[in-house]
Amino acid sequence: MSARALALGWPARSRKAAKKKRKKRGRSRAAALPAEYNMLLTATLCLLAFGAVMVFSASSTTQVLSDGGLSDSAFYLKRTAMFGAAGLVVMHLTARHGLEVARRLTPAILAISLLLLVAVLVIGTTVNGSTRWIDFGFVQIQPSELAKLALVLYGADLLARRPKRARSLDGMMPCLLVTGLASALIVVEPDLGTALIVAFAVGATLIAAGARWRDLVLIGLALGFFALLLTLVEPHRMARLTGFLNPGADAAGSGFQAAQAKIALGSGGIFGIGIGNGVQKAFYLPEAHTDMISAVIGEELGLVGIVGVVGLFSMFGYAGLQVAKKAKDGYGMLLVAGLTSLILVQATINLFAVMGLAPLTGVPLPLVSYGNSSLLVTLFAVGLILNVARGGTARAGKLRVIDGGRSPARERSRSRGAGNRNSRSGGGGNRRPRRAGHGGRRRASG
Amino acid sequence: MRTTERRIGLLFAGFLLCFLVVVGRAAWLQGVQGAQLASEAAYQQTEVVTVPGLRGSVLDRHGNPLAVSEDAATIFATPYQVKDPVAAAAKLAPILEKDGDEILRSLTGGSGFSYVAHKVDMPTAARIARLELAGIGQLPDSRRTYPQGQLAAQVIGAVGAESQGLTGLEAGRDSVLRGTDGERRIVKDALGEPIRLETVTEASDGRDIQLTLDPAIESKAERVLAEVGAAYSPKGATAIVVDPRNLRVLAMANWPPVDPTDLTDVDPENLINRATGFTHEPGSTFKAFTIAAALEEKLVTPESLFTLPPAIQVADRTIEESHARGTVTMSVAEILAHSSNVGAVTVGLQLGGERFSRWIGRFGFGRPTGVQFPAEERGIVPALDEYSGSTMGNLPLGQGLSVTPMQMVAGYAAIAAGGVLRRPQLIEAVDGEPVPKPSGHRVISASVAADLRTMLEGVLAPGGTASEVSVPGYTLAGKTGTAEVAEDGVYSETKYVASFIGFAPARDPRLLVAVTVDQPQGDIYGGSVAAPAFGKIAAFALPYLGVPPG
Repeated sequence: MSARALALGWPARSRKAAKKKRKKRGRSRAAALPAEYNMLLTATLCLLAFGAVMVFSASSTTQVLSDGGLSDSAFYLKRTAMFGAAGLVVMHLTARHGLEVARRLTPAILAISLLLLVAVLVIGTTVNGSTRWIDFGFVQIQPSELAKLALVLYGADLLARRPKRARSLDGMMPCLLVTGLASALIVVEPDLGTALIVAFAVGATLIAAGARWRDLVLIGLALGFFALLLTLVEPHRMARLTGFLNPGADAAGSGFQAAQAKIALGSGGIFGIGIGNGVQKAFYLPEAHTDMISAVIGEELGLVGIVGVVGLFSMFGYAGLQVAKKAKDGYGMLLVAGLTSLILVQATINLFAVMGLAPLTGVPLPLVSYGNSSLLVTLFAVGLILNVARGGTARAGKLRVIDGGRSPARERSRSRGAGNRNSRSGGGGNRRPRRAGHGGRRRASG
Repeated sequence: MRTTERRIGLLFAGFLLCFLVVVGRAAWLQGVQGAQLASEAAYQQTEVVTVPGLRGSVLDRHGNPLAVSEDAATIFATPYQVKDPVAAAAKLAPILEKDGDEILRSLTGGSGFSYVAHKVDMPTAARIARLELAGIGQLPDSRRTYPQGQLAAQVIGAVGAESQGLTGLEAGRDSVLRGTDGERRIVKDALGEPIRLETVTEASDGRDIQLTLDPAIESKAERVLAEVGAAYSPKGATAIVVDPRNLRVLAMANWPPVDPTDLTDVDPENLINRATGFTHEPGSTFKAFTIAAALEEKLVTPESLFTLPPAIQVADRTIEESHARGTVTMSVAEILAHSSNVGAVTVGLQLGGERFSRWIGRFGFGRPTGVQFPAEERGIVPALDEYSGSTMGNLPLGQGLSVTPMQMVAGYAAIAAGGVLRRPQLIEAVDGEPVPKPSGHRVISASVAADLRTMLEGVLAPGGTASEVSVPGYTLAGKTGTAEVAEDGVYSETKYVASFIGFAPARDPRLLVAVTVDQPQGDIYGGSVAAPAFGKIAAFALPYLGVPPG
């Protein structure tokens, strides 16, 4: 019965279900769902569906206008639907088995993403002066999207193995160094926005892990220093910064995008000018279907639309952080806090930039903007959070990435996988305390 | 564990704060600054253009167009945006059929805007648009076209650059014909391409005016006048053709012709519709009214005989015949047929100034006929208290007063149509609605009118002043006029107005034609200059209108 329950997609291992498990098999599964699980799923699906509509609205006009009406107005909608569907499958699977797999593969994921971050600088496709994509013919992937995920996974794993690490800068150092290296590679692309997101997301993990305020302030100052330095050496970033600080100065030049975003929002008023009726997406707003989608939302659906989007993200954040609080182990807690923060930070940076509260950095609105890599990665992250929400846990791998310095052996990961399966089918698996993770670590170090 | 929960709560609080800032900022931008930003959006996204309301058409009596408006384009230049003015001018010149240098000047002017060509037809405008020349733009406009060319040009009139009526009915009926411009808002993308059109105010086209003019008769009349023009080189000439039964104007021709599409270098005098705008002393054609008055006052009958000396003295003036003769005895009918000056004055003196003055008024002289044509002249008729001793030696001959050809037509139509004077009708319908038929009023009895028609037949009979003119199968009636032009109070020895007014069939008139020729050269007599023109027009129009011979 529990196997069937799994197949149908309902959490079979919530506390309530676990209690009744042996007597009443698979009964009242809906009641077994934690509220935050449903909230999270609802917010995600709403944002996703809303995003598809807005991507279509924002992209169809320019699609039609660009090629004299010959190109497919639904091109971006179709791709969003395709990748959205694929992403939902990924999310669905991850929500069941993702946590174990992700933790086990963290070293590999981190290694691969660092490798891709180096590779993209060599063989990447350059669009608008940024080398962010690797073209695999049928699909383009954005290594920095994978890197965001990898660093949060790594940070959570590292800090969960030995919570005391979070208490000192020394302890955090491996995490800071890896994050710094990845961020540096992303900055070189250049993609300062994503680098900042990575930094903030890892920072949120550190906060959740209980890092001392003194250390956090020091890290924040260092981050600010580097960001400022990077801005000063790069003319186009400088132009964006001055454009932000003094938007009226050059409305036709660097301030153009910011000014157009404001015009889009303002002309939407309270209720917007109607979905699909926006004019600003017709080349006034650059990247209307990606970075500037919230401006299109503001124009077409007004303040109501913006409040709706912010509301959905708030709901997502509340649910995500509730999941973190209720996680059964430190790893789950840290991972969920990190992943939720990752998505919320992106949303915040995007909305701040569009609202003219921060310089434009080219960050898409997660789940809403067009962007295939981002969509897949985000849905994978949501899947992981859902897995934790269902009471899932993952034991630490035998090898520690930094301390051990070697990639996990194939043999070991396979045996670990087998052990996981056993633990899951054994009803007490969810009851395994955080100690289990520590035990694993001890075994590894010992 | 407490720390963790507190930290997570802190994270959530942090994000919530950020989101509240976002919502606050959105409320500021979309609520408080919304109106202003919306106007900025409108400023960069939209453009309001004028959509011209097309001017109404002028139609002939069959409803076929004489003047119509169609969409056109005005080509303008923004000189500083024109990349290669010489090359651009060389491309535009053959398409616009204009002088290349002239176009070049408009492309190189110092201002930011200059007109290259006005009222270009749409196919030509499309060819220019396909050239995709930088700095050359188009504005919607309309142009007036004339499917019948210069036909009735003085009657229809001309329009100006703003499609406003300048002359003729275009000016007189401007309020009817004029369309109301509308406004259209164009929503553009950032590259300036239109993505949406919204109508702000609908343009409404002007109303059509249907005339009573018959294009075939008009055309014939104009051709006949052209022959007169070629033969006698007059200053000008006009022919009016009406149906005397209802006084509908079938033709109102003028010579010399004008081109309504190009008024440059046109003598303003030739733009005048002489039918209503040319005042002249009528001369002998007026004698019919003198006789009509005497008949109606029962002073004479057509058979009354008068012994007429070669000349007659009235106060300080001596009236002679145009061709000297001895003393003769003439009937009233003969006085009219031979156009005897002495006879007409004799009859006029029998009437006396007071009665005669009243009769001039009754026949409508000194007042516009009300033919619905703008700026109709009323002529000059001396008031009774202005009469001098010699006045009654002039007026019965058609001297000492001035009239328009239209007034003469109205008066003769009363004789032809059984004694009822009507207002001439030039406009049949406005916007498809027939205009009310003018009602007439009786000025002379039907029997007097019949007597006059019989007498006027004599003019074209052997011995009459227009005896050479005939139309096979039809009996004609009419009167010649050869009036000296008064210049500075003295009658000219060389300048005459030759005229003829006639109708047919004489017993049951269905057609009335008046031909007035101003200052013909070579020949001066109404009988030889104007009467043959009447004959030609009648010979065409009678069978054309299906008038049974008689």
